[in-house]
Amino acid sequence: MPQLIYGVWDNVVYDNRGSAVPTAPEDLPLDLFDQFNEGNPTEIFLSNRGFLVFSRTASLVWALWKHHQRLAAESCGKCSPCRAGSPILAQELEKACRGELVHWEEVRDITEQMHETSLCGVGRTGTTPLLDALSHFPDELRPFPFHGDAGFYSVTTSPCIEACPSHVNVPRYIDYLQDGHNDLAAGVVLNHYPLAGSCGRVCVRYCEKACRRSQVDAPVDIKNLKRFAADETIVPGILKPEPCPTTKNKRVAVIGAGPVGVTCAYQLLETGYPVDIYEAHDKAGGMVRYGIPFYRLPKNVLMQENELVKDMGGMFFFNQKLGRDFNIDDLFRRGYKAVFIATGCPLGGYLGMEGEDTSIPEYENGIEFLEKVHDALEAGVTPELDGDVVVVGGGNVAMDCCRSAVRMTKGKVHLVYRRTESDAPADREEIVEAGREGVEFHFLSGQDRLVVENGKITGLQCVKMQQTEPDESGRRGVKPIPGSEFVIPCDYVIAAIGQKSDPSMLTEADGIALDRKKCIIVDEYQATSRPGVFAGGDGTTGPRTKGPSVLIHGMAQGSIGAQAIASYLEYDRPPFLARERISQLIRQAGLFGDDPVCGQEKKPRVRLNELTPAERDHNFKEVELGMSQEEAWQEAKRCMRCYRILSVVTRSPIPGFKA
Amino acid sequence: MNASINGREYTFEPGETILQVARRNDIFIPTLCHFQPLNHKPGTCRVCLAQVTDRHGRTEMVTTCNTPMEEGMRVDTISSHVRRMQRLQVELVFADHDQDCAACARHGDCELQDLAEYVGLSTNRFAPRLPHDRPLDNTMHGMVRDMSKCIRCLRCVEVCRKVQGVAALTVDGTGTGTHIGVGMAPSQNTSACIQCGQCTLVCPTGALAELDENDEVLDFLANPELTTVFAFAPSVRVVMGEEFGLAPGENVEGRIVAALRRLGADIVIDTDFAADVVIMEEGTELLGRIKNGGRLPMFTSCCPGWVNYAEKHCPEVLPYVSTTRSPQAVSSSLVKSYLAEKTGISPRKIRNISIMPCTAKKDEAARSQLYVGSHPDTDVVITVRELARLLRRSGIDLARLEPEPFDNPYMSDSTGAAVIFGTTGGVMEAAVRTVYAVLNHRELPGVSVMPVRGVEGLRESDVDLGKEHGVIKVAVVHGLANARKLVEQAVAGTSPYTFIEVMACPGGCVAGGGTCRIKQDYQPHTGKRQKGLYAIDSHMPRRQSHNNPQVIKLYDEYLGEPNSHKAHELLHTHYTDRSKVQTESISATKKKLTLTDQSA
Repeated sequence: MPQLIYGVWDNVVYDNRGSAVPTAPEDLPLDLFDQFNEGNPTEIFLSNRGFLVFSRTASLVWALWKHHQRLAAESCGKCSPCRAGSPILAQELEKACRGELVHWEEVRDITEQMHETSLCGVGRTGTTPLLDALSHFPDELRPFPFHGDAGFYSVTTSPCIEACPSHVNVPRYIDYLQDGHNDLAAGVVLNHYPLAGSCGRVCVRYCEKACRRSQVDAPVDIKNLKRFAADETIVPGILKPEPCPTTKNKRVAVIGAGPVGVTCAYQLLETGYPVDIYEAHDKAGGMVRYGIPFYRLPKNVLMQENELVKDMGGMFFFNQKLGRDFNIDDLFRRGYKAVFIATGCPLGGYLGMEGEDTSIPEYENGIEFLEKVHDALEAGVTPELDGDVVVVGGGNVAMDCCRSAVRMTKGKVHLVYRRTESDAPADREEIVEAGREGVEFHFLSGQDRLVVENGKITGLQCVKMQQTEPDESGRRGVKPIPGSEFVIPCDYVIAAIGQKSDPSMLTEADGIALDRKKCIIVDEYQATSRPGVFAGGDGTTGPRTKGPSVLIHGMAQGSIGAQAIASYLEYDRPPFLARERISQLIRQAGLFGDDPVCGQEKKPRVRLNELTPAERDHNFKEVELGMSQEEAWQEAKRCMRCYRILSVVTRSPIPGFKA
Repeated sequence: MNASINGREYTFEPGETILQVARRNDIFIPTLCHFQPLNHKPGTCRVCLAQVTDRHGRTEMVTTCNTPMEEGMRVDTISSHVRRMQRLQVELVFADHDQDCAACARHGDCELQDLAEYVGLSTNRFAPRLPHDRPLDNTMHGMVRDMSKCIRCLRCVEVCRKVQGVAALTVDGTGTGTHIGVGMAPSQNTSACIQCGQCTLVCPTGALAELDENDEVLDFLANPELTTVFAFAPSVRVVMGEEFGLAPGENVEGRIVAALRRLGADIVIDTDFAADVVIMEEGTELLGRIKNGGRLPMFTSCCPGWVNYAEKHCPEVLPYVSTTRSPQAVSSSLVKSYLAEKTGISPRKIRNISIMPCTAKKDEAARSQLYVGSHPDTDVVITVRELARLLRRSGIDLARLEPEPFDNPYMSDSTGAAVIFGTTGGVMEAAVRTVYAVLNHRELPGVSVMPVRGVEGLRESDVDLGKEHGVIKVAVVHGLANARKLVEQAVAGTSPYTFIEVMACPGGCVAGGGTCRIKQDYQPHTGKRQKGLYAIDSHMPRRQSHNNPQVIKLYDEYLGEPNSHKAHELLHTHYTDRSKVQTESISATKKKLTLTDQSA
């Protein structure tokens, strides 16, 4: 447990330099600071909330200098106090380290000026540690002979960046858009994954949930800004991929050309590794391709983004299924030095109820249904259904199924879900749009029995459910109301109640540990139990797995996997993921308080055009129409750049980082 | 709702900012980036500080331009603490600003200098410590972008996007290197910029300015071998007076002529004459297109900002643009052919000096299409601002001069039709007056075409050309953001119009990018200048281009008839597709990113 020597946190001064009874901020788990880089204790921590010094020998003035160097590099240069103030402070602190004469009053004036009057979080909150030090520990700002064996790591982040599993620098790309650089905005996203336009259409938007603009009016429309950046640059070919120079000789095999595998391959190619991608289908895209309907994601966007990987030098081998056409040993025999498995959960489940006969063609699972619809559309045919449809489930797959079905039949489409609407895991927007398109909802209704006459479905018998009292976790279960059975007459039933991995892909002989649901067990670095084999996405289970089918989580795992593979091939050890460690610290120590937003003018979120429900009838045209350039500028202006700069000084150098 | 400023109570409406409430009550708060006419308040300069205490007693320093006033708020704008912070802010603005005020285009007319005075700036401690090495772009013929003077108010970006829809300007760099850039283009000349110069009207400093070519003018004047021919545009006569303290819209035509003579001009003619010739050519071209099934609608071609826009942003529209040269180009071409022949002066010895309300006219003069061999028709173009500077350099006070007439041998007669070229709607009205008369062999009743006058961004009118010719629909559009739709309609073949006048600058040439800069304001005098032109028109003895006796003489003795072979050679031009899609590799784009995070 690190000992706080002195510091200021949330404006409270802690000075244990001479006191017998040490004090520390309550509710701040200090031990977490040492977990940043195990075995290399954190000596000083600087953040928007103050600073903490854990060592009697560490130099505060050196830490502040490094922190302010970072701040000056981060200054966007638009507002006067931060633009001019940040380099002056960095200069003065450098002088202080060297023991040269420093005009401390001037430093104090500029620090206050930046802290109180800067436009965004960089200048406002980045100066907190220096201001606190000047106010309370001026005697600690002593000259410091640099000896070069301390570690320094600094990160510029924000609530939206932290909420994003891929830590995409959201304010940076919004700024680029506002500044007129659509190309650079797309570049920020492309730094993380190739599927910028696809993610800009279907992302679940953790970032928007974290957006502090909600305190003023509504969150910034981050998703559509990202889509705009991609649509303006990648789609029209303004940004062009080019072959990545191969600088490494160890080849990597990626299994599965879905978003996770493609992201992993993309990152490895950039690092200089030759990468081959094996895919069971005849095209890349995985579940994003056939699982997300055209009206949400036109497939030309996705295919073009997948092509980037090909253009960078990635080789695709299609119609190659793990467990059928090759196994893991085969890959190592072919000379690959590492393997990344991203085969996902390609199988849908059935309902397992009375009268169930999966051989009836009108009884399908959601995944198969969506894939069939996709294949027809890709072949240029708008598929049709004749009659009424019942979809069972409450997730996004269920919504995709019923919103697809609405477009295919003149009959009714029902959605049956055993819990309440607010319990449904699907995106709110999806539920709302399904309703607008005419889907009839039956919440708190459980499927009970398939009604079949002469081998044809005539209805689905359901039973009304009621909520039980909340259990210990506060969640309310449901139970059937006896005697409340009712039949929804229909011609088709689609079971959209979850997906599972394909058990035929991996066998015991592959030597990869699976859990009882046949999911691959991975660690923090996406490593499986078999050396050299890594995995990510749906179908894996590990500390990063956050529920199925969340594109952005999957892509983050692909990216971590790439880093881990590179480290494995280069050094035969897991990488030190400093960025991930900082995020962990922020999350676990609750470093981002709910500081209120004050004094902001209201700027309503731009309302975007979309097809009316009537215009969506019997077609799969994209519903959301995206932003115009003018709308993008207007929306981008709403970002408040809630940047926070966090800096860590450790006793010894941090692996991979120069102090 | 109630709040107090500096101890006095004021009422306000919900949503009003502190600055709005203060200004409404004549309480002065210094500002810099804020630009009310475009409702632009990026909050970048951070100068308009005040200390506010809300009703819960929380005290905070805020920027008043974008902080809403709240019930019970107490605002302090004058305490020593607030003034000290405002002053430090201005000192920080100056910290990375070019300190060489004496060599600046805005010398003595600079909003930043004013600001220094407002806050009582007495020291400038930080300037020596920070780099000032931001780019200087002098690739353009019309303008200079000197980023060492940029204070990042972003007004230029706003006017370029919102008013012009051109969006050539971007924000580049970080920290003290942050400046206005031109997107993916290597230079501003090759960028999407059309050099309309509206950005120079809103720039508070000398960061965006006209390219000053006065020394070239002085060199011409000083060379006894050369004959200098000065011509000035219709709008110049109602704008120029403002530079010398005269009322906006006041006609100072005669005083400008007098001033140019004082400078040593050999011949002073009127660009109005050429405007009348343009009507003869363009009107005939229009009738020809109507009669022969040519491309319609026909767009006017007088405005070089618009021509640049068409060439760079929507080349599909070029076949629809009239091939008639602009009045400046017509004037210069005729001076070196017709006037030279008539006066016996060798065209090689003539220097055409054109005085324009426009930065893009400088660019137009450099078009290769408007050269004869290696010699430009127009030798140098100076803007209204440059002429004012030139007169001051020569010790001439325009306001104190007695008006003098033009040199009137061949190219100085004018009509009311020509003079209104300087305002939006004017070219259209002039054209209608002549086209009607040509078709009907009598003048348009009432002369004026009121529906095309005004200030709305898009105005349209049905024009009855007489019974067998029927009604045509015409449109007038100004401010390029308004032009885009008409262009798209034309290209798509859905345009309801036969003839469309486009002027790039909102209000037309009277509000051109080369007119007077007015601090903290945008186009405040456009209406008065327009009125000035219409007043001149209404008092002219002749109000239709075809009635200009020197124009009649020009065709009789030199060109033959409008659109004749010779007229085509001297008075028409062609356009080229200069649109460019800049592409870039993803890896190069990533290298340009300023992401400070070290990757793990």
